[in-house]
Amino acid sequence: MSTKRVHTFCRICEPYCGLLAEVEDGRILSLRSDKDHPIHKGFSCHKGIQYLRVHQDPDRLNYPLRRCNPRSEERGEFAPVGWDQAATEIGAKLNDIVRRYGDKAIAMYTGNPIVFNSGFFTNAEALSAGFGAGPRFGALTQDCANKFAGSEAIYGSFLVHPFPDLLHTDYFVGIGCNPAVSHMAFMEISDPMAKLRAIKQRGGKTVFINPRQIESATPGTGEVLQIRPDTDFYFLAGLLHEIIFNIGYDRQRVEKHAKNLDGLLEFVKTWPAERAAAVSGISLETIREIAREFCAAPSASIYMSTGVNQGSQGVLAYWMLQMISLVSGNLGKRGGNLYSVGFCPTAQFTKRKQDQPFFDTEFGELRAIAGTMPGNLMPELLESRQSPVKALIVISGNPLLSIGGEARLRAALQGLELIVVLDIYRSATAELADYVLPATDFLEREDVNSLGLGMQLEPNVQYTPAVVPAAGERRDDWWILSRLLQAMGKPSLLDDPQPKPFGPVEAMLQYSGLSLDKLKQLPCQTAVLPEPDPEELFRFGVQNDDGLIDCCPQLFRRGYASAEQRWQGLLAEPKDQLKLITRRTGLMINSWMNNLPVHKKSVHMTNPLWMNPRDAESRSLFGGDEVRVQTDFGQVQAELVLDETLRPGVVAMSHGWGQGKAYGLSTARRFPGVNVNQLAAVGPGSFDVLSNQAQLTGINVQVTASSPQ
Amino acid sequence: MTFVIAAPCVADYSCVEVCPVDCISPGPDDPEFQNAEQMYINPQQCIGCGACVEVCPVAAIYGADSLPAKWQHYAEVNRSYFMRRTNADDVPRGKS
Repeated sequence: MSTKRVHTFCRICEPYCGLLAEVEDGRILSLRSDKDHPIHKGFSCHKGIQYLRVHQDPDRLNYPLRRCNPRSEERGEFAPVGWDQAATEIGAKLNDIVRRYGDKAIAMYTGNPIVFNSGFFTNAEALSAGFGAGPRFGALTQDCANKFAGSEAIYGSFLVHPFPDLLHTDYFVGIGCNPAVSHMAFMEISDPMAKLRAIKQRGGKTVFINPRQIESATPGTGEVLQIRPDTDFYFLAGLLHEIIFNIGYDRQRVEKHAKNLDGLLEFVKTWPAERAAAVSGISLETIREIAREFCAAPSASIYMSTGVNQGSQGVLAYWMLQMISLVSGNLGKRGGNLYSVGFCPTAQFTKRKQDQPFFDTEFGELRAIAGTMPGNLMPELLESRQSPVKALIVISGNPLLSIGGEARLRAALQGLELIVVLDIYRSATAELADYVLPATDFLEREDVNSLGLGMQLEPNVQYTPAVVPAAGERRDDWWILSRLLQAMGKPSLLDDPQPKPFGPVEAMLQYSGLSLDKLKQLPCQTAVLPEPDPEELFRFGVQNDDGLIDCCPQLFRRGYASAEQRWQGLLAEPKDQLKLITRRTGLMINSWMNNLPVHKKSVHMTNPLWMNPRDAESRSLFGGDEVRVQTDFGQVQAELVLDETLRPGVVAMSHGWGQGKAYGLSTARRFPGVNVNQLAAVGPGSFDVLSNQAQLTGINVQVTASSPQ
Repeated sequence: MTFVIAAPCVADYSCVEVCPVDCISPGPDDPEFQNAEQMYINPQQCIGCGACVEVCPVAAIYGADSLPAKWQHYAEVNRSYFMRRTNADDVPRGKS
């Protein structure tokens, strides 16, 4: 029996780390970091390597399943059916629903893993359109919609996110991020911690802004300024105020690439650093020092991530961040923040279509972000009287746990006529479905690292074949949706006797004179592309018709009043108010890997409430206590774990737990934890109107000892 | 950057099991596993992912640049464990 080595790559998060699989007789013997990879050079985190356990998990779905018992029963009883039967039945039911209720009756929800699945994702719009004009939901309104809304308004495309040039920067400010654990979202970078250490080694400086002493802050990288949760906008506005009104900037240089500077000045004038210092827990002196250092450094870069996104003012924070980079002269500059074309400039494909995106609904004015409606309104929109939804198709997502207000959403889902879930597992959401359709995992499908286009620090493109054939009756997501469309009598990729799911990828590769066949001939099937030219941001990124960056989009005015109100609210808060932040541990990636026994260790057997020992002492609480965590919207019980890394006044919990009713996940169910999203505000008025983003961090909570059972 | 196991180690097996590159010894198949007083990380093999830090029940694992002053020498303790084993012609776990 011969053993073959297959160069492939991880598809859990943006870096797409290179992996090497050893395969024998259609079976993967081992999976490890790929030392031959020209970019990643043997670095990957353990999650990619342990994905082999996901591939081998006996709880994986292998056959299409049809529900046998009523959906009112909490635990689904499912029987395997053939693909033809499943598709025919689902197609007939969907057609019947559309006939009775119209073409807005089918809703869809897409989870985060689907973006790392180019066969599906580059065809997503066409695949989705076949199911009509019903509302679309997705994980993005839970963790990053603010970035899409911000960049669309400022740059004219929701896919322009200038990333910090960590290979060359002399000064780096990282806010609400933890690269050692999460490896940097909205950016494709190999081994981020090595890049951060190199900044210090070449005489530069890194400053992290985070309520927690994060794992990324080491003597080799830099220190953390422990900010009060959800005050990042004020901190950033204070920095910008310092730069504009105290340090000074080159107006002519800014206006070469940007417009509406006066509108920005007028807004920022109302947010001096003193106001930031009053609520953020970071002193005036420190804010001023960072502003000075940022401007004095030969080059400086700035970045924010999920810890800011999930707050209440992520769009305004992202706006301030872009403007700090622009005004300080670091946007589109080596060592500053860059846009990289990679193998194809894709910002043009997502050019803003309308300046005023809002439309009237029975729930007031709403907008879509990258086609996505607010997750916080999912139950209301599913139950709409004006535009009834009767069917939901969920594609590699787990909305029941990812969206706030679990009980409310469960009730809305139970009111639907048909739920179809495409997944690799029988998730908590799948437990409510009529049909559960088995998808391939990333070791079973071919792919290209297309998501990072525009955001690659080290531009490269890699092709991977399917490392092994799909087990059982698992199918690629593009195939499953196409098969359903086919059963509905609609056009689909399967109309072609030789379907071409990689047609869009091939078209993009042509831009660089590449093709899948050419990539297959290269070592690790990888083409290393030139490093980004700083000018690429202005040439290929900015999509506004006049070619100028908008310093003060009209749209953002809708957020001015709430920025003021929230600041007043923060000032008025009692000193001992606890604020809950969300924490991703190194063993978690949303609810992806919750069924692996190897991760159920030590404190990670559940999702505890982490609390600073000082806060515990003042409340007469002890490590190991069972506590009740309560907001105006819900409550959960959790075990208290003392954690000195937290800023006093801050408590933390992890997402992705609350798996007690996921009957198809034997390990996750044994270690269920609690769904922290039950504490979040949901419904009308609970999300950022600018972006549909839910607030899932910086939430005011009360923590008390639970009464003994 | 490699991680280092320092004094608090109680030879719990969690880190060995979670390590994606099998660079923590002794493993359950090694003869000294039964009587081991602590675990060691092979600095040549460690890819610096930090999974072991997360699962350690006694917070015994540090980044090499973050070792508390009193345990600075543990970087050498970890390294020399593997030197000894290599010298004894005993192939360490993970050295494939």
